[in-house]
Amino acid sequence: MADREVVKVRRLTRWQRIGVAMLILVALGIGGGAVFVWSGYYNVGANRAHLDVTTWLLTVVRDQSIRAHSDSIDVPEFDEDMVRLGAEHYRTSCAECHAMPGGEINPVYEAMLPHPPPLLRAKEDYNSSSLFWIIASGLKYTGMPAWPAEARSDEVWSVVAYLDSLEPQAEQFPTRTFPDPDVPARRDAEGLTFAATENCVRCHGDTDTPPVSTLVPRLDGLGADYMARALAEYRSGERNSGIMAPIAYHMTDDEISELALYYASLDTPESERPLDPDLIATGEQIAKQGVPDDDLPSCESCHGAGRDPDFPGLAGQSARYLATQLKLWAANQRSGSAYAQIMAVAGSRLEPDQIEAVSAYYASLPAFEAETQR
Amino acid sequence: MSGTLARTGLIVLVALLLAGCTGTQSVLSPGGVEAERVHLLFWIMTIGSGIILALVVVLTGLALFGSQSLRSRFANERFITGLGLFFPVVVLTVLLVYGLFVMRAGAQSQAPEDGQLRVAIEGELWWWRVTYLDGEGNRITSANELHLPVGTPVELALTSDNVIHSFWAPTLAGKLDMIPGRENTLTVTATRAGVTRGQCAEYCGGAHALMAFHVVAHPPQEFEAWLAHAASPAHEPATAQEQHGAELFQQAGCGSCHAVRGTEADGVIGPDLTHVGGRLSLAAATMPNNSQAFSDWIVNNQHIKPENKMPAYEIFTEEQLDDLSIYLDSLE
Repeated sequence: MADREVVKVRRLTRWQRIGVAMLILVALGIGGGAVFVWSGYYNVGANRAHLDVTTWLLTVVRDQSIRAHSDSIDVPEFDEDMVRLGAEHYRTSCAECHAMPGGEINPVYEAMLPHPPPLLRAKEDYNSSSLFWIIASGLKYTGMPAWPAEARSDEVWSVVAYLDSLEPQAEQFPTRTFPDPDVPARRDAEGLTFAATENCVRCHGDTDTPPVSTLVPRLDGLGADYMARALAEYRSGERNSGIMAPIAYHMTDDEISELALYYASLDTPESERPLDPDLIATGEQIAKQGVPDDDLPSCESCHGAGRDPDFPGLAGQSARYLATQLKLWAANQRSGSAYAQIMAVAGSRLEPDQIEAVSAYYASLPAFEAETQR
Repeated sequence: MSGTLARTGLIVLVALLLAGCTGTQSVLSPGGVEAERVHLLFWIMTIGSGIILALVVVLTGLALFGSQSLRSRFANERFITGLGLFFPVVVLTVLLVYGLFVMRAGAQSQAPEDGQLRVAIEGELWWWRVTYLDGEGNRITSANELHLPVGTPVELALTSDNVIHSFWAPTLAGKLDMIPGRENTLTVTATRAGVTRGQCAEYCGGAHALMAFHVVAHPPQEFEAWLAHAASPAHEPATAQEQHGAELFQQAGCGSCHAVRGTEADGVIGPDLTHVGGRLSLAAATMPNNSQAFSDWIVNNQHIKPENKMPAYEIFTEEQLDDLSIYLDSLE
């Protein structure tokens, strides 16, 4: 019995032999892969295209990921105000790489790999949910950045609305013509040395033009101190906005204070005012008395006449802009700065119908008169 | 030596324990008619149950170790009936009757006479809104302090519009819950002048432990003077600093939640600050009352009393904060 065991020859079964062969193949694969990586054979230069198979793989992974992640995103209804805001943001931030719709892409960005695609026909390649997800999240390995203010999906939708509005046949850019010949002249007249003014006027208007969209605040009547604070907070990221952050990023303290004084001296033309008298009356009650039973303080005690100059005036502002901001407060998305912490308490106590009412009330008021020049 | 040490230790311990029974917030140093009844009942119960316990221990010892004749006497049926049935029935009946007497069971609650002072106390998160309703129909609002005239019964109307609190001023009376949707009344009569302390005795959320108040019992004439002062408008800013502080108070919107009578500030969400500088404490008896404490509260209130309804005001410069605090402190 013991002798037989000693002379026993172990023979591998068929499956065991296949297993050994597989192990050898895997080891060769890992070794080969390591050699491939360490040798630096693969050319990562942007001036050489990927292998066809790599391009195919990257495209499939990208589109499948976009589809999977955007599948459950509900698309809001688009309107002209969103399109106009989206258009101006596109001009500020997107056109650099993607060119104005129908225009030529800057050869520098054209030399990126992947090339930034022209977006005139973006809506044919991706539905609105996918476009939203791409703009909000960015795309790894492509140079497409994420939206710099995560909480501001409202801003992202305005860009989607703009892309959705593009008609490839028409090839026109649906926004006001620019540069406005008056703007540089007035800038000189006011003694402003700051070139960014035209960038501001484009969206926020001036004495001749109202803001480009009801989603954009008018800047006269806010007060110079408040405006300077708002720009500084956009610049530092304390206040969330993917639209204002890249603009404020370029501004120095001097430019900010110069611009704030300039706008405080303007009287922007009236834009349309809301008409529902019941809503306005409800809003007036909340604005002046608050709702003490719900611990909601009155708006006027901080935003009325005699306010701290760092608190904004609200009169004459667009109802839609006010409601957008109040919803950010209510959702606790605007509590970055010391000032914001104060409003965050009141904002978190606002109900949606109260937001509509106070927004309508302030929009129905004539704007504060321009501050006298200091 | 060690015996002396142990004895000293015991004396210190007993002294410390007894020290806990005196002081400003103790059932054992009553300063009101109701609290005196509670106090008396406490001692009757403590001494009575102590005597009975001692009796039981002695009898048990005798039953275990006593002489045979004594033990056979304990086995006597009359002894068992007497001490086991008759004695407890008598003691418990006496206690029940006395208890009903102490609680004034069945007594009609007296409607307040015309001209009698009533005090409405509302439990807030986490402070006390105190409103004095004098005989002439005036409402004088204050907070976190209950002022009483010695010797006069005062009806307290206890309410809450948020969660259940319990009003407990141990030197005045027992606890009474403040229940949303209901008004509970408690009549108290202070018997000696002085300052004592009370607090919320029903868990009411995060800062429950920081919801306390002071009771100030005045001699009657002094009380009239105090009430007249409480009803008066706020101190006018006298110095440049106070003036600046008053402007900041108005500009920063403090008046949307706080009232300062005699100014534009007429908010009702937070405590009335008309005479806040004259109160014994800040933040419902959790902080001393001085300008430094005002500064701390304005900036750090969410750390001092987390989730209270006031936002932290971190917007002031040091100079502004000083002036605002000096102004508030001047509101005596």
